[in-house]
Amino acid sequence: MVAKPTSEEATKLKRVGDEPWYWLRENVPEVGPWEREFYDLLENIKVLWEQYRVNRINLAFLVNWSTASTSSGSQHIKDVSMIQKKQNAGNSQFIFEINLEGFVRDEIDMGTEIDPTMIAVFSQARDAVIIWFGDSLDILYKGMKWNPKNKAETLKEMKLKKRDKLMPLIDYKKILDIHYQEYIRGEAGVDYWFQGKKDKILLNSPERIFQKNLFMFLKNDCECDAALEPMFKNSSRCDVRASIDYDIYFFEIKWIGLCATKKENTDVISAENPREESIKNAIAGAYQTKTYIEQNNSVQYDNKIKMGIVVVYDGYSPPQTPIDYPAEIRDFPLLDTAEYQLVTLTPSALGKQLAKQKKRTSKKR
Amino acid sequence: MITRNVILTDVLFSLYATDKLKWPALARTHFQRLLYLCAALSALSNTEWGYEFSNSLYGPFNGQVSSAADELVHRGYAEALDVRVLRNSKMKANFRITESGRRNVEFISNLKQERQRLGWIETVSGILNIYGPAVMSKLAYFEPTFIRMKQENRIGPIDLSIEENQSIQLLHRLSDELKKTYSIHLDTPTSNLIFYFDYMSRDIGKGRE
Repeated sequence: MVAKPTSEEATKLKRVGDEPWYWLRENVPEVGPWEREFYDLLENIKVLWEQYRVNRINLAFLVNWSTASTSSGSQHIKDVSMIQKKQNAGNSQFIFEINLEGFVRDEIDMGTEIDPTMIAVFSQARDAVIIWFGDSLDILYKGMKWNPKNKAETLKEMKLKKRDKLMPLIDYKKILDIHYQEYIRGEAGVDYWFQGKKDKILLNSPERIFQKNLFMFLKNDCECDAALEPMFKNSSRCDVRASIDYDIYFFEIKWIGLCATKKENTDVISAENPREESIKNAIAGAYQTKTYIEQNNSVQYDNKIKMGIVVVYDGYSPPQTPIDYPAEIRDFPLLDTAEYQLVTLTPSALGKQLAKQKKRTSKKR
Repeated sequence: MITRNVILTDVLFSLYATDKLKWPALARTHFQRLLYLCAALSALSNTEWGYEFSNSLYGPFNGQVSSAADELVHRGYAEALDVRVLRNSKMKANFRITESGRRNVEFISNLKQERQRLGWIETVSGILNIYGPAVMSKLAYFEPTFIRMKQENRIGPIDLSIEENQSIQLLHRLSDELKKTYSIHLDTPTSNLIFYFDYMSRDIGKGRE
């Protein structure tokens, strides 16, 4: 008995099931011997369409089930602009026949301007797969149209699967900045303010929210193996570890400000008596991180920590970062710090805050 | 000894298959990951893989796979490019098959069993060609059997036997649902591989170029 997919698996499966390759493979017998080649071709077409859809294009590609080389000088579907020029010069009457490698083998002159309806009829007459490359991406076979339940969503999600490079860990500052800009700032990718208390009180356990979100970002977008709360050699745990080749980076997540709490003996989360984490706690966290590095970087260990990074999310309004860390932390070579403000100030409030900070610093001196 | 030869041949096959696809020279990590994925999914091609990978801090790892490239260079079947010595005295390099290596592959693959193995490595790398080497490494990190071991904080060899192989179980679970809900039948090793990598790569670089 095969177990049922989990809800997360089912959601992902729904997106995969809507992809045109599966529909075509099911309906078009010719796909059989060319599964991989046809998948390659469709991937190319999807990405090209995404790039060129904003232009006025009206192209149709009929798939020829071969990879046989074409005469030299044949155009490739990647030359969309050139093919479109040819189409315009021919009064938009051509259907381009392409092989599985994406080379144009032939042009079929329809004698009149082509449109999706005509393409559908022609695909039926020729038992052919035709891809309509216009303001919408339509795929037709024997007059049937690829018509998934979530077509708009599927087309929106099309992106190049090939990546020459993912973000390298050595640019951990850039990684943290991008993560902040794209997922944290203004709750762009995750909610962290308590309902009705925006810019004042965070949800309870905010460190878990930030930890998990940064972990997912490292896991999916960066060139590393990321682990959430992995164990150190001395059995202590860090928040997020990222490793690549022989280098280990770890991220210790801290927050400052106020957060909601769970009422004693109940499941109710309330903002009535918020918990406060001050700058002092963030500095204590940095010391703790320094100790981790010292204890887990002994010479007898093969795997060395390249850098420990204390990331502080500032939930105070007005923000209280940057933090003035003691010299022991600032000068420790394997430790770096990064701070991000969660409250976005208006330009006037920001100016006032900067003036105050300047005053404070000059007083200290 | 037999295993050592199998590993050497597999690494050579990996260099051959990816060179045909015009991939850049491979780092050790890359062929570790490629061969791990081939091993994890070998049940789809009824291939007995014959050697194991361990759960290491840096992903699935086999020491012999790592050192095989040096031996291939020594025998003249591969060349090392961009050689660098790291601060811990470990040597980093990228490897590419030589003409002599290519001839050797063509010779070895006259044997039926070797041809089958080469075929599988070519099939897997052919589909991974859609994603490129950087994403391939990620896909190996995401392999469910390896992930489960990491989550359970277990160290040692990764058990890819049919009873413990989480990738194959996932594929069974999902292809069953695909059949029921979408009337899609995945009945060939290639279609299963395409589906598996498509599914596993869904969140990589989500929303980013």
